[in-house]
This record gives sequence, structure tokens and C-alpha cells, in this order.
Amino acid sequence: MRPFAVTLALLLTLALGVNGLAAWDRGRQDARLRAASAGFHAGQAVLGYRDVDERRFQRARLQAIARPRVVAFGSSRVMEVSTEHAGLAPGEFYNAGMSAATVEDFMALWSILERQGKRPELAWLSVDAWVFNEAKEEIRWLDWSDEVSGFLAGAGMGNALGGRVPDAMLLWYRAKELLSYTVLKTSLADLRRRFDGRRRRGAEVVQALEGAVVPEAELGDRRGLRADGSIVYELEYRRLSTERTREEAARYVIGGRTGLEGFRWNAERAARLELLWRDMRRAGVRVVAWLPPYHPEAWRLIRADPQRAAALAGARRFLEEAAARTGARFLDLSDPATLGCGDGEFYDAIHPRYPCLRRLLERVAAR
Amino acid sequence: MLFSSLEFLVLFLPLTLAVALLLRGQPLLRWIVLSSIVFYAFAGHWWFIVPMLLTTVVDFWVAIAIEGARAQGRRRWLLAVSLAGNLGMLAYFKYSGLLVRTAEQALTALGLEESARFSRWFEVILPAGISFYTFQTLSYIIDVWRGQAPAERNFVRFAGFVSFFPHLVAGPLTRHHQLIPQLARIAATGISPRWREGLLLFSVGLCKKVLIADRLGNLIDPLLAAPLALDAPRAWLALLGYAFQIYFDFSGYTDMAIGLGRLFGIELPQNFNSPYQATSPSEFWRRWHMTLSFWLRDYLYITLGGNRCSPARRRFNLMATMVLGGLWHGANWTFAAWGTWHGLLLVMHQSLPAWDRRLSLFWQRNLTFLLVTLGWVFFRAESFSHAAQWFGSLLGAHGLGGEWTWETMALAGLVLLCLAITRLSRNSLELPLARLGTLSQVGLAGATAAALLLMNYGSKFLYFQF
Repeated sequence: MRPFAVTLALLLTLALGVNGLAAWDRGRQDARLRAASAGFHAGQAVLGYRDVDERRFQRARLQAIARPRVVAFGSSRVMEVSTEHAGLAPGEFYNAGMSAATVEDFMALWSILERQGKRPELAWLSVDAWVFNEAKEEIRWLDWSDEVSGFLAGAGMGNALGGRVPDAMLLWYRAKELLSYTVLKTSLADLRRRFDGRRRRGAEVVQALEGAVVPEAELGDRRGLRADGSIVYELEYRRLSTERTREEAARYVIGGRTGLEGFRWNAERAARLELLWRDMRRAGVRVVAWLPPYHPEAWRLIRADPQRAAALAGARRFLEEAAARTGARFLDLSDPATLGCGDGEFYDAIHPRYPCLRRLLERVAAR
Repeated sequence: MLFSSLEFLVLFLPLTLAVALLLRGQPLLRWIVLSSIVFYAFAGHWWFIVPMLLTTVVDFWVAIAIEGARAQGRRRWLLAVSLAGNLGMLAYFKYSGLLVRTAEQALTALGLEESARFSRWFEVILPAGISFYTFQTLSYIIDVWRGQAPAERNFVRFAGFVSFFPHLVAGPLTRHHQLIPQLARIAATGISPRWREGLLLFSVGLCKKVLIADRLGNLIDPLLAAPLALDAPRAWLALLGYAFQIYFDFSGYTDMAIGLGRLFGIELPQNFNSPYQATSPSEFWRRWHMTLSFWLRDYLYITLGGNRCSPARRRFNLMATMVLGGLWHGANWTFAAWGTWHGLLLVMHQSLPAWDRRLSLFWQRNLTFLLVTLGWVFFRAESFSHAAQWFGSLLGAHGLGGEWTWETMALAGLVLLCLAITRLSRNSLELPLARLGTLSQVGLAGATAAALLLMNYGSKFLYFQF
């Protein structure tokens, strides 16, 4: 029995050691990121927000900001919404949008806000129908799977038990990660990166926050991210002609990039979204969710395809029912005509320009 | 709570065992029952414990009442109460969904969609392990009624028999005479853990589950999601892969359960005896899920008349037993088809003396394996159309050969490995765990460490749904 016990203990200690070392190193990197993030204020913007670890950035920012009144969750389709667009005072709004964000990202962001005592009064959720497609698997959220697991295990307990159980569960899930093959692979890659003298993961975020923050007025034609989490697109993207945009919208659907192709309903993710809404509502947060608008050409082509149209209809039906069950408010704004958004009011197939976005926010704000 | 989870291995098991080692007598049994209830409360929904406790309480008192009753009519009435309670609960939780779905399909076919939608109200969640503990208490009640066993007078001991966590969720189906005396013994003497045999067997089971069954599942599931896209070689690979996945998954779970029992000084019954080495369908059922096979034989087949009747009646008894056994596995007509398939195999084997006389052992073994494996199509398929598509692919209806990807090669390699293990090596309970050499122990430790790291993202046990 001794050879078995000794070998097992040695191997597990080795795995724990490697993961522990990598976690310690990541912790140091995160502390540096938090410090850099704390110096990022309203009126400033980070230049060239592209190819950065958005989850790491958001985690640091949520720890640095003051408690907002309104938080927007969603994919890049909501990222342009700023404090000014929301009609709020500086510090009252935070945009937690991220590229290709999915339900699990919303859960992680929400649980960080809750633990930081930064529960907003109102949560806006721009929900993309593709998040319910099992065939389109998003795995970026796995970067903060500990937060997601912690939320799933502790959802609803925070209010009843003063937050202690969810905190303990999060700790437990973090501890469990130390004995995970997936984490071991990442840890080994991180350590190899360090020994090879290459940049650590997340270094680009620190670098941006330490060296590429400018007053917002100086952004000019360049891309940047404001301190409220909203994005400012570069001029090149902004000035795409209406014709080019329409072509791009058609290519988006015909090229099979809608995320609705081969749609298989992801019941687990749907249940998670409903759980999140329930948890938000239980915490006294008002929830307004919507399906964001498509470019008219993209919308026409999606509607013409029975499979994609059915996928969208299924998502809408679920969101309506989930909203009714949880006391959230839901708006189906996927048809651009609902908002009167024309061909010229989109950057591409799925990203509305400000005039369209303004009407969307008016609908969201109206009771 | 899964055996292959860190919550179980790091928190639940050490605490439960540590406290149990300090106790004796009734407090020890109370502790085992309490921890089993906690374990069960984390097996899905906390309310799962309600039907289990109800079964425990009702059957405890009914058994005592049966034993105390003199009049035959009253005894029969009490038996009926227990049977109706147990089978009624099983029917409600397990089969109402099937009946509702069937009624829904029939109503829709008749153009009565509105009524069909109404029937969805009767859909319920199946409590994990209900099929197992219901059959255990049923056998106890029937044995007391038959006068073959005394009624247990110690409620905590009886509750321990029903709920003992190693066998609670997915067996082995343990009879009262196998467990109650052992519970009485450990209560009297305290627990003497068989550390070596327990931990090593648990590790073997964990490796079978995580390193083989889960890996096979990851490779097979994408293939079976679209059986129409399967060419013949990949359809066969998926089928063989599934045959091994279910074996390593379920026997791995059973090894873990028996290993855990040994840590508490309790020996749970053997459930698998190298089933893929069976030389006939009848022998397969003496080697596969043995505790269920023996239960069905003792309480269903023999009750129906068993072998002491005409050949035609015997065939009917076999078919009925196997169809009901198939339905025990799941509320879907495909499981009934799987049971029917096995019933036909058993009838065929009984009617073909040439099987044993003319075929060599080599052919008997391979033919049995092939026939059993074909049956797994019904077991794995979600519907009859899915099964038909899969059978079509096996016959080459959707192509005879396609491009072999890395995943296909990996699946082929794993299938060959499993074939070698199931055919050439001894099964887990035959392994000389008490005198395992240093090299074997180091190898097992390496595999266990890999399994522990991989299990964080593992799948649930297939047999939990039954």
C-alpha cells in the first residue's frame, strides 16, 4: 500500500505545486492589474482596446469602480453604450459588455459585483440569440469558471446567509481548480511562457492601463475604451458606407456567421440565464433584457431562412416566458423596424450606430 | 454528489469515515444513516430524500405487521399495501413521463394538440436511485411475507440497509440478508476498515470511469449526435465504443461502491463478472449487472412460474421478465425494445442446443459479444428513428468509408484497448489487491492521479438515470 500512497501523494503534490505556483504568479499579475486599473478615471480612455484579455480587464475594473446605479451586460453589440448615452451622471453607469459574451460571463460579472457590494439598481442585458445554440460553443468564459461555479452553487443563498456561504463556495471552487487537468495545462503553459521570457497572459492589459491611457478628448480617430467600459470605435470602422455595410450584412448571413446555424437549443444555458435573473430580482435589482437589432438586410435574410427564423423565435419565446416567471422586463428588438433603424444606422450586420442605439435606450428606459 | 468528485473525496468521505471510526452501536448506525441522507440530498434535488424516507418508514412497519399477522388475508393485504406503495411511487416518478409522452403523441396524431399540451403537467423529475432502493425494499417485504426472513425490528438498522450511501444511487442491488447482518456486526464491534482492498478497488473503479468510460463518451457522443452522417466503420466503432463505455462506467461505479463499502467494513455483492467473456446470452446475464439479474430471477421470473411449466409458458416468462427488466432501466420504449431483444436472445439460446454442441468456445464468445453489442443500439438510441438510422449506418446505408480523423483513430485505439482488457485480463474483483506488487501499485497510483485531475470535468454516471 505504501508505494501506491507515496506515488499518489507525490504526483498530486506536484500538480498542486505547479498550479499553486502559477496561481500565485497570476495573483501577482492581477494585483498589478488592479493597481493600474484603479488609476483609470472618468474622462479617460485606454487606447486601442483590441486583442486584450477582456475577462481579466473586467474583473480588475469591477474591483476598481464605485457602485454604479446601472450596469449593462452583453456582447460587443452593447459595448458602445456610454454614461452619456444612458443619460446618467459619471460613475452611475458601467458597461460590462465583452466580445462574444455569453450567459456564463454575465453570471461571473454579476457575482463579482455582488461580492464587491456593488449591486446596481438596474441591470440591462443585451442577450444574443446565438448564446442558446448548443452547436455554437463559446469557451472563453471558462477563464472564470470558478466564478461561474461559485455563482451556480450559491445562487440565491447570498441574501439568506449574508454572503458567507457563496464566499466559502467560491473559495472551495478556487481550491478545486488546483486539482484540475485543464488548469494544470494552462499553468504549465504560463510557467513555460515565463521561463521562455515571453509576455505573461494579461500583460497587454497592464501595459495598456499603465502606458496607453489618454484623456478621452484626445482619442481622435482611434479606438479606445472609456473608464465606464464603453467603447469608442476607430474612424475607419465608423465611416463604412451604407452600401458596404449592407454587403457586409448580407455576407454575415449568407456566410453562416450568425451563430444560429445548426441551431440546437441549449437548455442548460437557458436555465442558467433564468437563474441569474431570479438571483438579480431576489437581490432587488430591476432587470431589463432585450434581443438586439440586426441590420435590415441581415434581418430580411434571417427571416427568409426558416431554420434561423425558428431559432430566433425560440429564443424570443424563452426570454418572454423567463421574464414573466422572474419579474424581469423583456423587449424583442431584433427586428430593426421596431426601432425604426434603417440601413445607414449600423456599422455592420449586428452593431447599431448611435441614433439606433439611442432609440433602443429610449425603449428600454420607457415603462 | 458523485463518487468521482472532490466534494465527495475531500470533504464528505473523510469526515464520514473519521466520525464513523469513533462510534459504535446505535450512534454508529445513526451516523451512517444521517450521512447517507446528506449524500442523497446532494444527488440532485434535496426533496429526493422524501420518497426514500417514506419507503423506509412504510416498509419497516409493514414488514413488522406482516410478521405479526396470523390471518393469510391480512398478510396478503399488507403485502399489497407495500407493493402498491413502492410500485406506485416508481410508476409515478419513472413511468408517468413515458405514459404522458405516449398519450401526447397519440393525441397529436389524432389532431388534439390542445389536450396533448395539457398532459405535460404530469411530467415529473425522477429521483436518482429510486429504482434501486425500491427493488431492495420490495425484496425485503416479499421475503418477510414468504416467511423466508424475519422482520427487522431496529429502525435505524433498516434505514441503514435502505440508504447506505455506497449502494444507494446506482447499486449494487443489495438484499437484506447481505447487508443487515453486516450492519449489526459493525454496530457491535465498530468499523474495521479494509483500507488496502477498499482504497485500491476504489482507485481501479475511478480509473475505469474517468480514464476509459468518460474518454469513450467524449469521442462517441459527437458521432451519435448525427447517425445519418455515420459511415459503416464509424458506426461500428461508435457501437463498440458504447458497449465498452457502459461497461467501464457502470462496473467502475460498482468497484467504487464496493471499495467504499470495504472502508466501512462492509462487503457489497459482486455486480460484474467479466460479462464480455460470456459464451451465451444466458451466461451474459449471469455476469452482467448480476444483482439485478438475480433479483429479476428470484422475484419476477420464478413468481411467473419460472422453469416449472410448459416450454411455451417458459418462453413467455422469459420474455416478460426481460421486457420489464428493460423498462426498469428507463422510461422509454427503446428500453423495452432492448429488453425484448435480450428476451429473444435467451429464448433463441434455449431453443438451439446446437449453440453449445456445435459452436466452439471462441465462436460462442464472439457471437454472444456481437449480439449483446447490437442490443446496445436500443439502449443508447434516444428514439426508434435514431436506432433505425444507426442500424442503417451499421449496414453501410450512409457510406462505407470516410475520412479518418484524429478522433476516429483515438476511438479505434481505445476500443482495441478495451477489447484487450475485457477479454484478456481479470476483472477488478479477481485482482490480487491484497498483494499487489510495487510496480503495479505505482502504475495504479499514476493512473489514479490522472483520473483525479481529469474528473473535475467528468460526466455523470450513466446508471444514475435508472
